[in-house]
Amino acid sequence: MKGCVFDIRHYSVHDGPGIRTSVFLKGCPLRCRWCHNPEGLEPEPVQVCRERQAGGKTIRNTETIGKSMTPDEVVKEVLKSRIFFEESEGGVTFTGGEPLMQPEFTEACLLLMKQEHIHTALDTCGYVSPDNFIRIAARADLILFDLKHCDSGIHQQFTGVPAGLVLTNLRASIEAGFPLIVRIPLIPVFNLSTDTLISMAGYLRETGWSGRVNLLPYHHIAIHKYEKLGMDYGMKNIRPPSAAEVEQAAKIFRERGFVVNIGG
Amino acid sequence: MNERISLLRQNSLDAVNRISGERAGLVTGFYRQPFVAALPVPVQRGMALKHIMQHKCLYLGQGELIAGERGPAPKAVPTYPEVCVHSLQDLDILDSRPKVSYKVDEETRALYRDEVIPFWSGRCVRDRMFKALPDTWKKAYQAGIFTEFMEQRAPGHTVAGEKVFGKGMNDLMADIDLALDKLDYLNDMEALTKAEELQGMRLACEALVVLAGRYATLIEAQIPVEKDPGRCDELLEMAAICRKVPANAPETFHEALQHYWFIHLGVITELNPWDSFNPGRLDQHLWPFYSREMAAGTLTREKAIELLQAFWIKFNNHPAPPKVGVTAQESNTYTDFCLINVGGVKADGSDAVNELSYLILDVIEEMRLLQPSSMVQLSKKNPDALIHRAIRIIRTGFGQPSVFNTDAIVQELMRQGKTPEDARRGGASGCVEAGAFGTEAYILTGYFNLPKILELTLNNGKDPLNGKQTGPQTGDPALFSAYDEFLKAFRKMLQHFVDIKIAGSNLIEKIWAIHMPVPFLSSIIDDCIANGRDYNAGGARYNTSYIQGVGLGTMTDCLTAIHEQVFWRKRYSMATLLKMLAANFEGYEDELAVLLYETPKYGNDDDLADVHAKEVFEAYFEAIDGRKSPRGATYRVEMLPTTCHVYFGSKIKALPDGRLAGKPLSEGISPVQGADRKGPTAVIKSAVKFDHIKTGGTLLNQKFSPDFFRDETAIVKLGQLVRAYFRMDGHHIQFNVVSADTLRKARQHPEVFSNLIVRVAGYSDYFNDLTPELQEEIICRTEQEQL
Repeated sequence: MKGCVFDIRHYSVHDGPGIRTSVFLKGCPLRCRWCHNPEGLEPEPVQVCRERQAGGKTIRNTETIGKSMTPDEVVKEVLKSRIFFEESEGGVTFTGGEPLMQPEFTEACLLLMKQEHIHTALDTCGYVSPDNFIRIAARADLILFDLKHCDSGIHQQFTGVPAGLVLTNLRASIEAGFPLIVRIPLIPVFNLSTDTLISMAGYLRETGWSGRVNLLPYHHIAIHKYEKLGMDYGMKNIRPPSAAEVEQAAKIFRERGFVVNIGG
Repeated sequence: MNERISLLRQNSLDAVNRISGERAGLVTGFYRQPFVAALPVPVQRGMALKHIMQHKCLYLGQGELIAGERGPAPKAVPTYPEVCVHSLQDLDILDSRPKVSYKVDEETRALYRDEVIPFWSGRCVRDRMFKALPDTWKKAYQAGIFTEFMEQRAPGHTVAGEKVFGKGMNDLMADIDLALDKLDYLNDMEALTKAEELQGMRLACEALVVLAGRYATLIEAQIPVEKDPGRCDELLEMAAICRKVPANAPETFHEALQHYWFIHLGVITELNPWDSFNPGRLDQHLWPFYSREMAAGTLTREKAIELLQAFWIKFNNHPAPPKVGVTAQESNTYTDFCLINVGGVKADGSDAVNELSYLILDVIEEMRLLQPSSMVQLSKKNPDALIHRAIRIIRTGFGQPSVFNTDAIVQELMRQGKTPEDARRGGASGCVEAGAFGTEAYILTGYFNLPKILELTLNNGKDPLNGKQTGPQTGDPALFSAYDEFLKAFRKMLQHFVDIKIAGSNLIEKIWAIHMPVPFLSSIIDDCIANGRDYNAGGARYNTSYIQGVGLGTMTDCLTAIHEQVFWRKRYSMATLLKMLAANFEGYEDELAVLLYETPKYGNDDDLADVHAKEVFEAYFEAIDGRKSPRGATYRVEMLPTTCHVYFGSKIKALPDGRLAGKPLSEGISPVQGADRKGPTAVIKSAVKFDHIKTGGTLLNQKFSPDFFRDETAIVKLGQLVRAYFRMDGHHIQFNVVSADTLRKARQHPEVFSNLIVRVAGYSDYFNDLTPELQEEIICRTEQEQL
């Protein structure tokens, strides 16, 4: 069995507890306008033109983003950071793209990691078949569940898909008692309004859950990736939220009983 | 900081670095006296120090709490003509060079022209050295294969042990008298030599008492004219302290600092040892005074901080003695490498961190001075609070404190034969050099250019810079059929030049031992008094000579390229590779791209490259470790560059790793600038693939984007990264927290960024004081950012 991996990054310090290695799996069912990893959207490897400097000359060649790997190969690479996991109670985070777009591969990797006693986190957008979701999520030690909006129409407008399946899987995770962190990107013009944030907090309360909420303020560092991929960046004119706006958002969730982190 | 400290600090920052001819004049005047030549050399040296201390100009700044300057004023830097007599041209260069200049006035120039140069030419250590050194050594030196630390400065790398804080000059003189009494002229054939050495030491101790007495008198004279009653009280106390120390052992916190400071001045006035002098484990040495006084209620936290801050400013007033030529290029900075140690373990192996450790870290953060440099010793036994506190200072971006692995240092020192207790009393000084504080003379002899050896091997001993046959013919590499043949040739070339370096060092060491003993330094380092032997002649309990290897990253990537692309994949023949190098890759840009981007690189946790790091290190280690020197020292290796990677790079044409002609080499054990692309964990994993315990120090630089620290968990996670490195026996790591963007702006608008301090290699410096090459090198280092 092979999966398509577009990056394995060590010393990842914002995707779960401790020092982590993030495995980026290709393919995503969503098309969020602010996506930070556009190179991971398509399930197949993509070719990009790469320019590099050599002795004052610019050398152009094509680079393939996305590599076919076996679960064993992934594990071998991840385990290079074992000593850092041990020092920090860290581990591996499967992210992407959407790792559950490659359900068998992700499941196989999770199982192998468990055999190595490595803490596993699964970063998911939740827009996947509920059967696969529950079965595979149950194998991870922590779910990083991305919640973007509770209004299905707006969700569809900005991410390309309705919210229903996402919310179903979120509820299922809470009911199953999975260790969970809800991650909410703070995106101006999309979900940064007080009303939207209050309704999201309300939705989470209503599911009966009151754990950790990580707020991830939008930034536009990914813009150069769009240029490289020859893709249009739909967020060019959107400025990142101010510190005050981020604090206001945090306050909304804190006041409703959630443990709030900025970032992570 | 309070107003007084703020003023003293600003005065120190504003003072202009200049040459003072005072010491040169005094020492020349002393030696010209007809009776001097008849005296035994150590006695001459002791008397010379006393002469300087009797006649030098004293300085007491407004509001100062710690008295004493080496020169007549802050940043007025003396010269040491008995070591190296500067020519008038040297003085012009020092005065006018764009970076690290020292102003020279007409009076000093005249003094040099009329008195200093005529007297010391041919007589100073440097002239004696160059007269005695063989041509083979000189050729290799000129080719940039190695440098020589002792050509303009005295042997040093010495750090104060507990004794310095526990004994006064009177106690040392009593020890000296006892040793003199014990001399056995019947059975000890060296007895007279020892007696002369001990007499020199006694005179040197007296010199310090003279200096302190003169300061007491100066301060007392100011009391009647001082209008501020508060300052009057301070002056009274300061005068009393100067009457007491360093003649007697200190009893209070203030006395301890003043006592050390006089001793510091003694060492750096006697001669100009590399790395000035160093109080070493300051939180340990001061703890008895601090805790006693705090318990008795005679000292407050605020007062202790103020005194420490005043002490810090004293170091900043003392730039390195002027360096010229190659010595300036290998260590191009005003910094004189006094490295304050905080943390670590006690002699019994237990956690040494105390309240004072954190207090000193507060002082480091608030003072934000280049000197003294500072470091944290981190043992597995130390609490995480220590490293977290240190990282909070590192985050502010002035490169201090650096972080050292106590447990590795102890292992390194014990491998060299120190007792566990002496090893635990040690730490690191200079940039990263491990030593047993108070008991060891660990003398750095110079940097060694590993990639130059590779270049000579690639050219069968010819130096492509001038076409001259510089090394032995180790074989035409185009005829080698396997990588091992190439490696064998490299090792042969390496051994050839290591032998030349060691032979030269042995000779130089002997010249120092005979002609330039240091009786004062000897009196404070164990066991020079008991042995009746000078520090420069092997009198210390432990004696080590280091040769510092430079360019590990560059070397590794070169060997990887040769192994991978020439012998393994056979992508290029050796002949083609040599053509590319000769052409500086002009017309070979596609091949250059392959070497740069499609060849494994050190720093990425890739065994295909890292195996060669181990290979280079082992070759270097085996060529040097365990060799003996005339003073009974053992040669060992270290891996650090200061600024020598820039100088060495200027002596090498293009290399197989894709480095272009003349560009800097990699620094310390860090990867080639920009070659590490997999983050800091991969760098660390690569860096521990050779055994740091077999060194006396390795230097790893990491540059982090300020963005990394945007949330608090970064502090913890960086601490864990350091802990993991140390668990794998990493020796040292230091961090630059500044973005390349800021550095680029600073290069364009130096006036706006005059306060920007960056980590170079083993020390911090003002970005504006760095040469353009070094500025560029730091900008090119990989910036670790995690988003």
